Amino acid sequence: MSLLVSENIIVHHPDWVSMDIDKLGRSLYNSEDHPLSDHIRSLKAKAVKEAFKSSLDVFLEFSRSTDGLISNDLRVKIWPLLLGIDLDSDQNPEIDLSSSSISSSQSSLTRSSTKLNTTAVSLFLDELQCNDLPPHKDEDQVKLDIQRSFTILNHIQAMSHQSADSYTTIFSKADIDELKKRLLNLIIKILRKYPCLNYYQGYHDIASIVLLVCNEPQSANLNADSDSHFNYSINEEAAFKILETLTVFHLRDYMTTDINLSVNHLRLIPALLECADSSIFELIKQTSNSYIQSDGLYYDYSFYQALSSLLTFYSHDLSNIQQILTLWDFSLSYNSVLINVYIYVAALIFFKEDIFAKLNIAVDEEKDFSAVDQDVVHTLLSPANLLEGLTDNDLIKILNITKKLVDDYSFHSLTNATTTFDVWFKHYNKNSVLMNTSAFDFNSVYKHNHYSYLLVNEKPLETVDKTNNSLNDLMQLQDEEMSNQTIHDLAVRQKITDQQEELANSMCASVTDIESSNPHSLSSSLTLGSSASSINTKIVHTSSMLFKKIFRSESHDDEVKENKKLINRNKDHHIWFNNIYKISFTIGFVGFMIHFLLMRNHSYTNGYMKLFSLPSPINNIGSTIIQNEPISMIATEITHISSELINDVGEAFGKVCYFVKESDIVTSSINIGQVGLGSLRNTIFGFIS
Amino acid sequence: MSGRKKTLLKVIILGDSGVGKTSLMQQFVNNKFSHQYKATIGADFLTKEISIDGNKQVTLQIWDTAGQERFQSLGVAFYRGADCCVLCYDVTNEKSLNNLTSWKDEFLVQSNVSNPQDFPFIIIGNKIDVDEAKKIPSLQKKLQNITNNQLGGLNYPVFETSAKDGINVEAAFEVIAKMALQQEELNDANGNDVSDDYNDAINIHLESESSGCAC
Repeated sequence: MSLLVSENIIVHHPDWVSMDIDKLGRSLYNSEDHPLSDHIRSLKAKAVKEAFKSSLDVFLEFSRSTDGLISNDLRVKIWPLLLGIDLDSDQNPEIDLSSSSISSSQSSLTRSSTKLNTTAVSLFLDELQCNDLPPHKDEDQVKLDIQRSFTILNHIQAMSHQSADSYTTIFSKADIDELKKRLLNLIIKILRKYPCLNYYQGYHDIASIVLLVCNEPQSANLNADSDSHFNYSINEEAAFKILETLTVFHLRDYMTTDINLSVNHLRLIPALLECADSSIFELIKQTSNSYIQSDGLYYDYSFYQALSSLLTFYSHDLSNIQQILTLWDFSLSYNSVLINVYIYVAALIFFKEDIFAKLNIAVDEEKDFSAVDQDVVHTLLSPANLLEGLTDNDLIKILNITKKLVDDYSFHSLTNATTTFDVWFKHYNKNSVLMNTSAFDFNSVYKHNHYSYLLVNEKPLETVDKTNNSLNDLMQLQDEEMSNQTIHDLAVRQKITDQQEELANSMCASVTDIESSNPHSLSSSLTLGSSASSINTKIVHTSSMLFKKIFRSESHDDEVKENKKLINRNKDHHIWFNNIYKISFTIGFVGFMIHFLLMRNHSYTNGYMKLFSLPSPINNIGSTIIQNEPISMIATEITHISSELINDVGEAFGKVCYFVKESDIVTSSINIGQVGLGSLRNTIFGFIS
Repeated sequence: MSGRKKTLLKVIILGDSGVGKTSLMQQFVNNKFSHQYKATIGADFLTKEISIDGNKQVTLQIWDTAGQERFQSLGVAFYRGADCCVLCYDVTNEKSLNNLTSWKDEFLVQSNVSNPQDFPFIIIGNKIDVDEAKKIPSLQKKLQNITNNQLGGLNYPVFETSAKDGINVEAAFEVIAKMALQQEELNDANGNDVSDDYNDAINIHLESESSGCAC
């Protein structure tokens, strides 16, 4: 209420400082609001400074109110607080409490900030120390991206005429080059310190915002840069600490080995939309690949458009630095990357009418979007379209909607939670940042203290290389968790495809997904070295058809029920499931080989006939599954059948492989034959033992 | 896919990070170049209408993709229904040249095109505006090596361009459009059923399986 800009309110509340905290707490973004005037900005800045004397809660409210924290010299002090960085308990002896900070000229602006300054030059961005650590594998990529960083500096000028702060610097070419050098240094320092993290494109956007905020006017800096042409300096330690905490506590999920966990985060957007705005959800759902390919039976909640927004906290997508900083104030105050999901949903809701107008569809009337072009929807819902040229007022309104969404919808209690958030995170990714360090419901200081073991103590920089095992272990665990989920997702998808035999075409997509997303799965061995991709496609296709045959089960079960059942399966069942998959895949492979030979050489019908005495016992398995017999019985039966099969299959397979080797058509794919044979044996023998 | 107009041609630009994919697309669609392009995250497209051979109007939907390897697995969401694939390398970066093969393979695996053997690819070597000294030594020989051996001996058209100076970009995309149109017509001729070929394989299986049951 009190933060509102309209003139009459200014009259009523001429002085920020005199206002009581309770009122400020309620002064959140208002949909009717506009950016603050210069006068109000300076008053708010004053109020924020006053707030250093009080609790963190006040900063949260300031961060979430119009125009956020106003200026970068406030941000550089408050962001660490929002992130829960407790500098008082820091083990680094050089930053101990007894320093002269309290008596420093900046005493009103907290002890921590001054301490950061005193150690900045001595500890950080020291090339030698950085070079002592072994290079990170992604450094080449970092260098490429750094060359394309700070494009946002076009807009630094926009920042400089905000008279409320002291940023009047115009960045020259030399300044930008210097910034790039420091950005490279900052990122490489983090990556070398935590070699288990994988760099992603977009991380450099995050780092560049952190660096810009930690850029300090020279006059306020106690350790003025000796480089005379560089007319500002950067609080290197603050930058490092902010980025380090952001990275390890919040961005960790995006830095696992593959991108699947990031995709999992993206799925939360449609999941929230399903509850918050069904018409946009239906639009996304009905134009998704999974929905179209499954003939409307299934939607996997995939939503790739917001990738850059989540990965970069919108710093890649917004073109105005002030807006980015305001959004970050808001975002960081929640101390969870989940807030970015809410913001994207809010943006979609805010632009809903625009979106539907561009599609020539009346909002809320149409529920059938089958005629809408997939690609057009993709581009309309992408940040490039949504957020480019966003006005300050739009941003305020979006953040206001976000606030309301946060109040109204918790991911733990969404009506679809049992099939979305609970499965993706509570069940499969227990160590995701969303479940601990970036959880929505824990206090930031608690999180930082409780999980501080993940951070490597920076004091003995020389011995850092081997000491960050806890994070290393965690990252490995997260990789495993995600691949388990990938297997689960595939299983669900396979079930769905059973329900639509007629759409044989869709099979390739899901099975191709296995190959691309799960490097440990059997099928991936076929993709590697795929000089004969067409052959691979056929293998995949044919075997997946056979898989369908085997799993022609529970075909009309409710999807929700299906998911629950799968979740409840214990580990043994899971292994069983994997093996079934392997067997079916292998059988499918055999089938393909036969087909392959048949297509080209009709004289090999012997082996062919031999093999096709096989499917009947396999069908038995299928029927057993249909009848939902106990898993143990199925396993027994499979063991039984497989022992029968070994001789037949082995013999026939031997023949097939012989033919394949002899046949010069497939000289390039002999290795495929070997893979198939090996896997078949492994699977069957493994099963029996 | 069937809902798409015939004249909309989907083109995917692939290649290592930093070879100039975004610049190429921007130069072709908007006739501009900037040093300010951000690294691409995910994928998005621009469209441009052109006429082929002066009579046939087509709309090119050009998809710009992220170059970093970790984003590759998302391709399955974007490559579907592609009519032509542009493989880019940087004439000053030998690694980007050597990676063309894996980009092609990855594309074929993820896009599930009906005719992987003769799907239209085109190769673009970008940044020819740079100093001769910076270029890959004996580039032509290495390029020939790659097109002849690793890419299955197929002769894909090769263009050397400068997105910065706008050299050859227009010409390359003209060829891309023609190839894409051919591919689109081929798909139409196949009754839009990309998996025609595979359905046969499946049918044989189903028949034989049932006969197996009968025994």
